[in-house]
Amino acid sequence: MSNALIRRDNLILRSQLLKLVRDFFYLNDFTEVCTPIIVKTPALEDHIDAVRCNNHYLRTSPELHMKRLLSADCKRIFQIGSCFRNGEKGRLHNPEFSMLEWYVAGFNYMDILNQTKELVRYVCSNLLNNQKFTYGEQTINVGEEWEQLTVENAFTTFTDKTVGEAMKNNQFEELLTDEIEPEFSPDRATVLIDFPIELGALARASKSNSKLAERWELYIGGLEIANAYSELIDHEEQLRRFINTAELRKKNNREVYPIDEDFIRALKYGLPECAGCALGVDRFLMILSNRASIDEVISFYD
Amino acid sequence: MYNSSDLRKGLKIEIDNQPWAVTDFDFYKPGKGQALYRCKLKNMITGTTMDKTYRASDKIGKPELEERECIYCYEDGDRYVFSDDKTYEELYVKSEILGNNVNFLIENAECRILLFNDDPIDVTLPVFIEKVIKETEPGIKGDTATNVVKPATLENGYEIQVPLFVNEGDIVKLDTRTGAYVERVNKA
Repeated sequence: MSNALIRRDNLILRSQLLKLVRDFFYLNDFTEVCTPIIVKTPALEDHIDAVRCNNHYLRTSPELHMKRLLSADCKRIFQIGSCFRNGEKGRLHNPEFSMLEWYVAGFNYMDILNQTKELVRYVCSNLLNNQKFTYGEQTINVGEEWEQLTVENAFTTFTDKTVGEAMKNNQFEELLTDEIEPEFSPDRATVLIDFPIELGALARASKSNSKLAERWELYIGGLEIANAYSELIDHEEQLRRFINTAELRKKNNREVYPIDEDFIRALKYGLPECAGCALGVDRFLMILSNRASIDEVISFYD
Repeated sequence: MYNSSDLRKGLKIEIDNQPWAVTDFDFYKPGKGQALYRCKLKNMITGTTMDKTYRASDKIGKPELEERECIYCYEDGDRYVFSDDKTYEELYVKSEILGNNVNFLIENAECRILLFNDDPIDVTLPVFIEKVIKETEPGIKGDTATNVVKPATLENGYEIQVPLFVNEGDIVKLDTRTGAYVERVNKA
């Protein structure tokens, strides 16, 4: 790849997309926020590595700071900005990528799913003048009812393992990408819902089944576009999970980040019941502009 | 040992005592799950290919590979003898390693030999070599414009396709990567 290919068409499309996203959130009474990009410690997650920046880190997501704003009585907030993940480079990954993240007090994961549908349809209708568009060999209509599958059903339907067996054999990711994702309806959006609790370090457990996290992932055109959950608001539970994650990272010889005490303190002070969603802007742009690879929608890529 | 994060296109790895080259590579990470490193691999000895996915925690073997500059010396039964350019040590290469390259060996040609655990597994010849045409139908004078070709045999019995104007005794240049005629160097 020659460096610094500037794709003018995509820059313009990105600009239009960002404007529409802002329009949507301003119309829905949101406040746009900016939280630190250089952070003392990134969120502790099993499989996300941060880029170091002197004795600090670049944020892997704005989640912890945005939740601190919620505990300071901000009720509807959104942010668009760069996030950084060490070592993630591939057709759908770049170590620096653009994230849209928003939180709503009083929402659960299903409420924010409905809002995500509105957002995606609003953007497509205004950007493409159509809810129907072509991505690769697929014609997708995001105006059609979105396919909804629980993780448990997806495993029993499309693989010869239950989700529990897959987790135990350390095959969750492989079966998900090799056997489940290709089975999603090609002509509409798909939502994979109710993940094992181990895969939702900051998500609330389901009220009916404590082994499940109230979390979903949105796929459009086979690409994972967004991730959302009902937020965990219990500070003791959150601290326990951070400690577990730190131990797991240590066991796997990965850098162990300090626990974000300010975040735990904010939960203790009081985070309202809320839900949040993170949407990959670059991947969204990929499907809207029918591009196969993330480097085609990033302005300066090397 | 390599870590999964070292994987990239062109890396050479070892699996079950065999050297494999990564011919295609993609990093993929679903959701908050662990990373998958998807590779297309080609066996550097047999040429067979396979797909393999590594996870973040995997350790991958590093093959003991060495490349040496050598001079081709002579044929000895079904082995071919090369001499290391620096140490003058003799290296023996079996004919099955050379494959079709056997037909393009020229004494004193500078070659590169790839060794895996000290055994030669691949020989790279000079890209262009010159060979004498031993046998072909008489040339047709003046026909240099058309793409029509005819068979011609080299001194070692290897048959190539040459343009109609080429005659017996002519010296021609061949591309060892494809075995194809490139141009006539010298008229007989």
